[in-house]
Amino acid sequence: MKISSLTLSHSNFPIEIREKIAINREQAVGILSDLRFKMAIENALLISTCNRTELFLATEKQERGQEILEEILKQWMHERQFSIPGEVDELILQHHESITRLLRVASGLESQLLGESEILGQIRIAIELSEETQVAGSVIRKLWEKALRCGKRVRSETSIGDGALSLAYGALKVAKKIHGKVSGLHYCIIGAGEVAELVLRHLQEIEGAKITILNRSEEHAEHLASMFGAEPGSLEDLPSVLVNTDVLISSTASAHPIIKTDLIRKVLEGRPKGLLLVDLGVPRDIDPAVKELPQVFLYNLDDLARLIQENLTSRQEAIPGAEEIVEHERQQFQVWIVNQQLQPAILSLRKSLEDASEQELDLLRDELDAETHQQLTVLVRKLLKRALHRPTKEFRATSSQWSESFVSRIESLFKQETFEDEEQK
Amino acid sequence: MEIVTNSVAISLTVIYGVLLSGELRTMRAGRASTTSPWMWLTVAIHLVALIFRGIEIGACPVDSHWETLSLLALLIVTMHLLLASASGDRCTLIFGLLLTFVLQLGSASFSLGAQIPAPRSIGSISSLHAFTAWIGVAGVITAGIHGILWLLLKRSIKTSQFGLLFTSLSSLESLSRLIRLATGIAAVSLAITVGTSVFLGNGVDSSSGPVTPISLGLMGLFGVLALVPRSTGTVTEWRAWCSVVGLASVVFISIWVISFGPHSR
Repeated sequence: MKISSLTLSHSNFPIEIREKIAINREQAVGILSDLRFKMAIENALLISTCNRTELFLATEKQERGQEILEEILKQWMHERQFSIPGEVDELILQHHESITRLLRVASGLESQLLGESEILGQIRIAIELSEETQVAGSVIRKLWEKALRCGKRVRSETSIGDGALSLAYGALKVAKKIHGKVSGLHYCIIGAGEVAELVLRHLQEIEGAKITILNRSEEHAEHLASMFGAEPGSLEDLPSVLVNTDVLISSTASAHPIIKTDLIRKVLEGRPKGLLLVDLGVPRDIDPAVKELPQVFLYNLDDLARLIQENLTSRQEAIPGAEEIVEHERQQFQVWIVNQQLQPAILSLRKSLEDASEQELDLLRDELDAETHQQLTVLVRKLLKRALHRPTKEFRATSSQWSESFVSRIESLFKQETFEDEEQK
Repeated sequence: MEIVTNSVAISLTVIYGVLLSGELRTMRAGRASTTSPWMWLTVAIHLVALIFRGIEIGACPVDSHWETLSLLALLIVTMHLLLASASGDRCTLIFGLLLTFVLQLGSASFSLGAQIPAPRSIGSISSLHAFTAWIGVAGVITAGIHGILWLLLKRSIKTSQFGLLFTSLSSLESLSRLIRLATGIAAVSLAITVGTSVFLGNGVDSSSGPVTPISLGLMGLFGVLALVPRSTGTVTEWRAWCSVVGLASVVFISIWVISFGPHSR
C-alpha cells in the first residue's frame, strides 16, 4: 500500500483562502463517503481545522492515489472558487513525504503555533469520521495510531509544548497592551465549540474576569457557562453585551461574518474605551472592514500566530529532538507497511510447507496407530514452527532491503509450488 | 570656578549616560518593577549643583544656555521618575533619560565653550516665573513624549506590528494615565507662570516675540486637557495629539529662547 496526501495549510495559504477551503463535518462525511462508494477507497483520513485541510489516502498504486487527490483538488478549486499559487501536484505528497507529513502534523511541528496540542484532538475526530464513512482501513488506522503516538512522544520527550503558548495566551497579551491588565475585564465569547472551550479554560484562571458566552443555541451556551461560571446568552443579545465588553473572542462555524461593521460602529458610540475583537473562526466571523474603525483592534488567527511566534525560542530549540522522534516513528511505520506487503509471501511459504507436511502425515495415517500419529503430527508442527521462526523474523527485520518484485516473486513461487503439488496429487 | 562648573556638568553627563545604558540593559532583560536608587541619587546631586549655582547667582539659574539646559534636564528626569513611581510603570523612563542625557550633553558643551558670565541678580518673582515656566516646558515635553509613544503603540497594536515598541511599552491605558498626569503638571505650572507674569508687569510683551502668546495658548490648551476626564479612547487620542502639538510648540519656544535670550531677564 502507498500513502498519498493533499496538503492545504497555513504555510502556503493565507486565511482568505483557507476560509474557502474549510470543511465542516457534514462536508467531510460527504467527501469521505464519495471516496468509499464512488472510488472504492478503503483507507482515507481527512483532517480539517482552521489552519489546515489535509487528506490522506492509502492505495495499492501510488499513481492512483495521486490521481484521485488531483481530481479532488481541482473539484474543490472549481466549487469553492479559489486558485493555488503553484502547480496542483506541488500540494500532493508521495508515500514517504505523506507519512512524515502526518507525523509532523500530529507532533505540532506543522502547526501555526509550534507545538500546540489541540491538533491531537482534531486528529482523533478525523478517525471517527473515517470510521463513520467506512474508510478507516487497517493501513490508515495504523498510520493514525503512529501519528497519535508520535504526537504524544514529542510532547512528553521534548520541550516543544512547554510554556504558555496558545491563541488565548496571544489574545490576552494584546488585551493587556490595550487595557493594561487582564483581570477584571469583561470577556465575551461567541460560540460554544471546542475552541471556545479551550479559550474559556484560560479565562477561567483570570481573577475577577466577567465572562459572557453567546451562542446560536442557548442550550450549548448554558452548558458551557455552567462549567466555567460564565453568563449565557443568545446571539440576539450581542449588541447589548458588546457595550460593556472589553475583549470579544469569536469562534463559530458560521460560513459568513456574524459581526458586521454597522453593529460595531453603533456599539462604539455608547462605550467608553477600546474594544479588542479576536476572530478565531475560519471562515472568519468578523467583517475585516471592522478593523478600520477607530478604537477597534481586530485580530485573526494569522495575527495571533505571528505574535506568539515571537516567544517561540524554547520551542524552536526542541525541533531537532522532535524531528528525530518523527523519523523514528516513520521508519517503524515503514517497516510495518512493508511487513504488510511481506505478509502474503510469508503466509504463502508457511502454507506451502504446512500443506506438504499435512500431506505426508496423511500418507502415514494408515501405517501408524492414532496416538503415534497424533504425537508425530504435533512434532512435525513444532519442527515446522521452529524452522520457520528465525527466517521469518529475519525476513521481516530486513524487509526494507527487499524489493517489491522480489517479495512478489517469493509469494508466487510458493503459490506455484503448492499448485503444482496439488496437480501432481 | 569655571573648572568646577565644567567638571560638574561633564560628570553629570557621564552619570546620565551610564544610567541610560543601565536602563537599556534592564529593558532588554525584562522590566524591573522599581526605579534604581542611583537615579534618585543622581537627581539629588544634580539638584544640589543647581541650588548651589542658584545661591551663587541669587536667582533661578536660567541666565545662560548651559544653566537652562541643565535645569530642563533635571526637571525632565525628575518628572519621568515621579511619573514612574506614581504609576508603577517605568516603560517610558528610558525615553526621559535619553532626552535628559542629550540636554545635559548640550549643557556640558555650552559650559565648556563659553565664558561663564558674572552673576546677575533677578527678582524672586522673576525667578519663580522662570522656574515654573521651565517646569511647564518639562511637563509639556513629558506629555508630548508620552503622547507620541501612545500614538505609536496604538498604531502598532492596530496594525499587528509586534516590534520593539510593542514589546517595550506597557499599555495604552497606562500611557494614557501618564499623559494626563503630565498635562496636569504642565497646566498648573504654566498657570503659575502666567500668574507671576502679571506681577512682573510684562503680560503680553511684544518684545518677547511669539513666546508669550504661545505660552498662553499652551496654558489654555493644557488646562483644558487637564480638566477633561480620561473617559473615552477618542479623548485620549485627542489628548495625545494635543500633547504632540505642545511638544512642537515648546521646541519652537526653546529654539527662540536660545536664539534671542529669555524675556524674563
